[in-house]
Amino acid sequence: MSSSKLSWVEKHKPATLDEIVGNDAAKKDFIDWLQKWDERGKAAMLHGPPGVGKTILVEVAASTLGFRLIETNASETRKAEYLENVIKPAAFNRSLFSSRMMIFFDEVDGISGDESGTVNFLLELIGSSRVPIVMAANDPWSPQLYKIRDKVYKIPMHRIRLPSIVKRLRDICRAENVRCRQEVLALIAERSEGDMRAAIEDLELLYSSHEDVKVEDAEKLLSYRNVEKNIFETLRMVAYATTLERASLALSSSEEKPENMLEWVFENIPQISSKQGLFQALRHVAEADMLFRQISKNSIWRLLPSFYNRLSSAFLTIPQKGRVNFAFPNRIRERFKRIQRERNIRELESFFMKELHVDRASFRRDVIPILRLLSKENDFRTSLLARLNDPRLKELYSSIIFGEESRRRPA
Amino acid sequence: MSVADLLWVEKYRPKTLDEVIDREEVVSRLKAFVRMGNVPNMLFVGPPGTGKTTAALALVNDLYQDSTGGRFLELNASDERGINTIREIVKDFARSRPSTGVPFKILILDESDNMTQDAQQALRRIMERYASVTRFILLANYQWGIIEPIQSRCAVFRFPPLSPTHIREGLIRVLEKEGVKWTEDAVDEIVKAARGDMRKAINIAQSAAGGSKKVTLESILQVVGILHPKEIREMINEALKGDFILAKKRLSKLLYDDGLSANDILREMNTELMSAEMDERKRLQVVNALGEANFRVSMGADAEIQISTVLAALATDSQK
Repeated sequence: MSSSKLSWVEKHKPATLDEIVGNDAAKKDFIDWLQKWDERGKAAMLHGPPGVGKTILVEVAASTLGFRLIETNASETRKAEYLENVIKPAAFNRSLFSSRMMIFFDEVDGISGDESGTVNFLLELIGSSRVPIVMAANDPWSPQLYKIRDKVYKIPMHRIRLPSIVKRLRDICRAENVRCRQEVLALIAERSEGDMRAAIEDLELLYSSHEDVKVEDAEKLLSYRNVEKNIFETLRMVAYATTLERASLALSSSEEKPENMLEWVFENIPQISSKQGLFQALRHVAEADMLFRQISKNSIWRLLPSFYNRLSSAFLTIPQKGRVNFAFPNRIRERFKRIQRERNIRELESFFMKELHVDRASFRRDVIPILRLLSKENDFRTSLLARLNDPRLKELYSSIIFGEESRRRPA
Repeated sequence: MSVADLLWVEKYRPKTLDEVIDREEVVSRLKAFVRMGNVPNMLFVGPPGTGKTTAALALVNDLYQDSTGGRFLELNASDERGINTIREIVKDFARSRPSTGVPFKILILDESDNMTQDAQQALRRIMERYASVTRFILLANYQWGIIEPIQSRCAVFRFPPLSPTHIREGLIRVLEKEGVKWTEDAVDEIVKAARGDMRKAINIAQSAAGGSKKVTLESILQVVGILHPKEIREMINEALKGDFILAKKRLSKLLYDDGLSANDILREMNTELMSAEMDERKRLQVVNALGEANFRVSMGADAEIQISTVLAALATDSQK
């Protein structure tokens, strides 16, 4: 489900080459290469860490120089029929189109090792294309690319300098009409480690409510995000993966604990799934949940890959995903509170089980609701409290019987 | 003063075997044991509210007369720290053998069918080893939850749901002792809602009476509505309308704020799903999902995740 509101990263995308911050040498080099295309080979590869503007440079350069851009992301790149029916005609039948074309393969290091078909296709293209081929990769040295990397013109891109990030953030704040403190912008920039996209995402996280944020609060909010950053990246990879292998690999190589991974998937599947796909997807999640209980209970960790496969399947059954905004799982946030509450109920339960000769199930099913009803009467409540001579019991009784009663019926 | 005398169920729990109603066969056999001054190991089987605990406590009372203190112990099999606790307790029993009167002590083990197979095997050895000093009364909902070797070492007593006549009789006895006025239709409604569960009948009556000295049909219906939460029906309806997110929110409220057990939610859902309006093919799918969820929750899976799949099944159009 795509969100109706554009993210700030999308909304404030540079439209001209001048608006792209940093990497001036790479910009110049790339434009130069494009203008004299075929002198230095048919294909170029922009490489560098995430969020430094590889994709945006290609997009803006294409529109500036009047190329029609055929853009493919990692998952489309792997579909044979897409390559055959869309890319090939574009690369070899220039005459059919009036405008000049440029073919762009984003995230090429996302091709997995055994997808030799894709790699061979790219090699063929690099050898004989009639239009410029551009690729973007985080790591040109990744083993999948070993056949390709020597056949392309490599243009390195670097992390963005912090002052440039701060300046860009300030411009966005102005455009969004939010007031921001210099220290907060500096903090965001520093934490971004030169990743402009991450910096803007952090900015949006802090200021989307358009309220002033103190630097201490920003630190707290962003440190939370720090842990999350990895998992957002992982989930994005899983969501866009088209093969089970890729998706499972992404999940299992994350540093997040498996039980938390389950929470992330459970929380986010309903957000990205259509109503029709939801049942199938959740069944996989439920299966993964069951599997994980068995794995941890019986210590059969060799089954963990099956667990990740199930979680991956949940994503893979959802047809096509739009832009995905992943949310932090509520259940992780509430976990502590719930464990506490469960412990409280157990404690009160043990007391009443002895006093009333009831078993656990009956206590929850029959006794709690009845205590709630009867406790509305002042007399009953007073008499009961008088009989609970332990202050701890009084406290438990009040929190479990009334605390929840008041929440139980909102107006 | 204890909490027990605030709740009618406890206050009017039959103290002796003579006071127990609708269990003539069981009671006459138990009385025979008391007369002989000896009891075997026993297994009481039946659904909740059918008098298992009551019969066990009454037996203990009749057997030891006024000196029950220290002679028996009631334990929840699933609660205490497993079979080791039981072993320790029985060892303690053995050390302090009563010098006069009945020469053994009684251990009442509630929810025995919730013990694992391994724990039950261990329990069986304890039962044999300390047979001379301890008698066990195992309480269980399901007989087949108890391993064969234990069953064969126990006298088995069955506690089926009470008949409507007996529920009525027991209920009216309590109402009269409390000086509460009742209407016929109110009592009918309680008997109907209790479904053979005496404890439930009395609990409903007390909740409906509250601080007042009367129960009416209206107050009963209100209580029954709370015991069978409307919210479960609302949750199902929301899901049926396709609003999965809203239904799921309600589910977590029921589980975490209201503290309902997953089993209770699943049982109520099952009842609601049978009568809810939907395409039969869809009902089949939903009910299957419910069965799966039920199974997994009892195997230790997460209630919210598992029940969510049922809500998703409801939210999905049946055409597909």
